[in-house]
Amino acid sequence: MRILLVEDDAMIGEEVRAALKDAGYAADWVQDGALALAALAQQQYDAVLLDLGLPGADGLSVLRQLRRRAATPVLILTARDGVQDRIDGLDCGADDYILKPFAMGELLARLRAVMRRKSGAATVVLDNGQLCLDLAEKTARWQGQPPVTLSAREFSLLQALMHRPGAILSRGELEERIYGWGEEVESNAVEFLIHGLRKKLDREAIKNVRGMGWMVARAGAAP
Amino acid sequence: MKRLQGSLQARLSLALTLAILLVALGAGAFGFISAYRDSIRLQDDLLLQVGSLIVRLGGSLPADGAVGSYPGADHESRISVQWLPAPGQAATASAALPLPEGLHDGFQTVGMFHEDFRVYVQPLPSGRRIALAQETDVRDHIASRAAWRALIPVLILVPVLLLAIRRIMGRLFAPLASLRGQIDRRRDDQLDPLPTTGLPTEISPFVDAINRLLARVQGAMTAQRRFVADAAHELRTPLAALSLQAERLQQSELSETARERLQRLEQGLARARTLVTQLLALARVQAQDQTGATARQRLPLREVVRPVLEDLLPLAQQKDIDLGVDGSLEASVDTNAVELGLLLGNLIDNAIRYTPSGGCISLALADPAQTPPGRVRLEIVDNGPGIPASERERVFQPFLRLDPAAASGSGLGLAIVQSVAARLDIVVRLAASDEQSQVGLRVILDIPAP
Repeated sequence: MRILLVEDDAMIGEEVRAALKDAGYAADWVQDGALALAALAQQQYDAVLLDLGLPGADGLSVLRQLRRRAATPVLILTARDGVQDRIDGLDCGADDYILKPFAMGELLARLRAVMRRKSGAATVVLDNGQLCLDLAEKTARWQGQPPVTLSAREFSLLQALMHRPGAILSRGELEERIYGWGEEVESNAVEFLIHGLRKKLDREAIKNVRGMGWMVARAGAAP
Repeated sequence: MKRLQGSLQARLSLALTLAILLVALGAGAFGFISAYRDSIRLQDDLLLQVGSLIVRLGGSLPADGAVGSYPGADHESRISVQWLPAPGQAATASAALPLPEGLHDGFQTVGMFHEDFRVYVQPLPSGRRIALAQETDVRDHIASRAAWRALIPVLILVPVLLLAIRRIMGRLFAPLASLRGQIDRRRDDQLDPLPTTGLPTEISPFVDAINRLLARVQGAMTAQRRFVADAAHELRTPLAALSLQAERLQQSELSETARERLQRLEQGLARARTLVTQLLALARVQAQDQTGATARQRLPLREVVRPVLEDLLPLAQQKDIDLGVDGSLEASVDTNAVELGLLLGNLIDNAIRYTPSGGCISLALADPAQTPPGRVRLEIVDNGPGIPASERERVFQPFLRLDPAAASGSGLGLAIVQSVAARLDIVVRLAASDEQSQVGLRVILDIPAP
């Protein structure tokens, strides 16, 4: 996998390039917009990490020019965190947006995610760092333990939670996922399924948020 | 007295009253003098005519003289006519008036019975002389009546004018009063120009000057905020680099001591990151204050709270704090999701920082019976140390931390809360979770309902 890193700050560039190498990527690092465009013209990249505040050509204009030719996944790195900045970046064709200062683990996770989405292949495994849900096999695995098979409703419930780790889903929202139209909703069904899942996996696998609902931990946020 | 000197209305009233009184006195004096002169001439003419009439009638008079009288006449206007004794002869005992001796022919004023009389001595062809006399009071009365007639309308004018001044001043100063009200109602950071339409031309230059001052202040504040925002921005990049370096360091071979120190270094970095993020948030909220009102819309409260809890739950779980909602959050609010999220995030973040491990933070809707009309009351209750009642005003100041050793906050959280609350018309109140023991912090938010 070849990544182009466009970052004018020497310290950050150095660190990110080293971390990308550690993670097994081939990383090219350029420090201004014009060089970035030159590099993109010569080489096929699997993803671009793009800083917005660049000397020469502004990050957004680099992004616009790249989008005229290629659909390479682009992850924006920026210190601008206004809502409008985010909207501008995504409107110009960025695939995701990560705010400085960031943790390297999060950057790598998001990089994997944008590349996976762009590859077009259906995601078969949902992973939040603790819990893996295999969509093809309908099995779940908790931190290195052997995979366990899930019932259809357990699978639907866990899939709903694992779709966006860290998001809170209410009882109503979970019921919508596990019951079809016209099916009668049994009371306590959600609690019952979660109890079963915790028994099969781990007590910590699904967290209860008092008064709001349930969630699985966000990637990288686990204590 | 000071108030009178300071009041334009009082000074104007006083000056006008004095001027009116002066004019009234002048008019009275003029009326008196001119009427006095006229009545002297009138009285003299009257006496002269009566005198010449007697001469033409042949000088026939009763021996003791005559008094002109008719029913209803007052004694002051009576004309008495009597013989003057020939020189060297004593006055007739029965004469009505004790005229002194040595009266010359023609007019003179003579004092008798403690009163002044106008006397006209008329020589008759027979050589005898008669005296015609009338009291001078008559003409004094005429003159003073004339003087009063000139004075009274002007005196009546004084209270009428004072009332009129009051009304007129009230009306003239009404735009000023409404301007004052507008200025009083302004928030501290509302610096757009004051309206100058409808103001009297004497006052609008003054308001223009205030507006120029406001513009200068706004310029200075904008520059300051831009500086804060730029500085926070510029701090972010090196901070990011430092954090990445620390992160990589953790992955390399380290001694136990080095690892411990690295952890402290990372805590320091995390604190610096929080500070920079908060500074930027505050700078942005304050910068938006100047660009005008935020777009508000009807939103379910639950949907505003949910992403905030999602963001902060990992932090709460690290401290083993039970962060959650009591009861239902089913209510609609009229607000801006991003900004209310920022406000709630800062409040809950504060609660997590100050609540000890194993504590509890709850969000709950208050009983609608206790909620002011048109509002939704959301309470955030923790069982941390709380804030003493005497400090509850002060904690909204930027960089103020009551116990700097206690938690690793930036001291900006509540300043952000206050800025956002002002923009969204949210009333924020701090109280104790438990009023009896004054323990814990209860933040009461009255959010506009749609």
